[in-house]
Amino acid sequence: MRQFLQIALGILSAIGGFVDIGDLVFNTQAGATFGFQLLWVVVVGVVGIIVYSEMCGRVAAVAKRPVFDLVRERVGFGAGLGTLIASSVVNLMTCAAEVGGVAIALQLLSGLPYRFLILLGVLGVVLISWALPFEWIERLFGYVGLCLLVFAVAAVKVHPDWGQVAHGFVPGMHTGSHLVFLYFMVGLLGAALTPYEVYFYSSGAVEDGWGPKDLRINKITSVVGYGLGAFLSFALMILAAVLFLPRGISPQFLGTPALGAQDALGKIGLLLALVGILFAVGGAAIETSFSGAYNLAQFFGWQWGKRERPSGAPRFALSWIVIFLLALGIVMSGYDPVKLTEYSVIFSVVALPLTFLPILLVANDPAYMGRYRNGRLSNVLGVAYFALILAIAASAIPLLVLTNGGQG
Amino acid sequence: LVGIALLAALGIAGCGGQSRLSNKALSQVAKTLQSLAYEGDILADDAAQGRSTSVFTAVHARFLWEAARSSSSMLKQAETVEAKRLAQLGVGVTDDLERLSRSGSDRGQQRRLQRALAQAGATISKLGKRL
Repeated sequence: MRQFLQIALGILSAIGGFVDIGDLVFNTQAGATFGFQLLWVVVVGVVGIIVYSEMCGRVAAVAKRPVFDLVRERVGFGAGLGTLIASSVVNLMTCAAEVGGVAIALQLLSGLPYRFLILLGVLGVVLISWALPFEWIERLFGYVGLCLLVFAVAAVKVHPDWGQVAHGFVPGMHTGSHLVFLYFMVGLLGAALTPYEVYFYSSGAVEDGWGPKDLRINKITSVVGYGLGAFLSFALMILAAVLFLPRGISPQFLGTPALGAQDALGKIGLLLALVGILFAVGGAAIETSFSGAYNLAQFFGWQWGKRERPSGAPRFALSWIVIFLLALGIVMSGYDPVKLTEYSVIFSVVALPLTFLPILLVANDPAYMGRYRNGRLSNVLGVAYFALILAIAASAIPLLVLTNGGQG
Repeated sequence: LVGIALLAALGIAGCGGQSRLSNKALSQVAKTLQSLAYEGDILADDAAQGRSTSVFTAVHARFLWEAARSSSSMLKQAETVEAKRLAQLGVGVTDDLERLSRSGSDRGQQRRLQRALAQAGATISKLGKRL
């Protein structure tokens, strides 16, 4: 019974924690631009994050090694340092975008000045990160983030053509610009396969002291949690396809998805959407800052861990605080969080191969994993996704430039 | 590598816009203004029906207004007939969104602004197809 409860809680927090500002922005824009035609790409992305999260959770449970520890060991110091720099830049950009998202959600709820709310938001997430235990942070943001399920209700309420929706799950021809279509494919895959989620998941598993007995929880949480979380992505895309595409609306604001929930469900839909967005992006801000600190500490061999008191892991604690402060500086300087999100998602794609390759290699290495090494299915999916990751990593920046950020 | 690529992309994204607008750029401005007008139309409609909060209406309309003002400012040097007409419509959309952001709980005004924004969106859409 206790294990069942643990699994249920893990799944709930994974659903609420699945969507961040990248998913909100790219899924809404994709629906408003191509209707239901990109729904299948979300499925591809979610299967990818399930495959690699399960793998890195298994590696953490069996080999007791988090991702960045393996990056340095498997790709060497030089390439490892390159990966560290690339992932730190992407983590910082993502953290800044999430912090900006927190301030915008607070502004849409309160009407107070944006810059004041940036300061308040950063102060809030720093205090929460400092004071609350790991489980409480995960549950607080994961559970309240479940308010985002309002988008699923709204998507049903706007009465989409379900036949067309079903057709969207079949990869095929599309209407419109090929390059823009490819740009959104890369963006949606990048939003689903964000490296910080992998760093955070594996470091959290090591911190939680997972062992082989936890492999079942790892598998169920990855598959069901991320799988159900994908429904939020579908809902955002369906809602945008029905409400925004026919009018030629190109969503540029974080409030636009909330406007969709409002149009379908009125004030209650609006408020649930805004609270869900606030907690989803707030949780993601904390995850990105911790991911950055985990990476630095694991690469340089510092003492690390949220469970450690700050005096026990001072460089780790200082790292996540500095990441928040840098993010604060970026957002205060006036960068638009939505534009920052688009760039951070596209650039995170470039850093994906060096993050995912060591996971694949170690998960298949009997010296580390013994009888828990990858089975045939994990290897086939792992290699197929790695090939896909290489392809999208090579095309991400050219597509960003050629399509002018998806505007054609 | 990511940092260099980022700077390059941001640099490329920041270039342009100083000279006379090309047809493609004009068409892009039309799409943006149409999008903002229609988004304002939905927002004003919900506000007029009491389906929104006054804070959300004010703040989101302000975001739309700032974007419309920025797009409209690109049309100041408009030379062709279509560009001048688009500039005129852009000014109208900008003003309507500004009024919507200040409309508070005046449902009559929100209803009038909804009609005006819907009309502007439709006109810009037709104009955009001719560019």
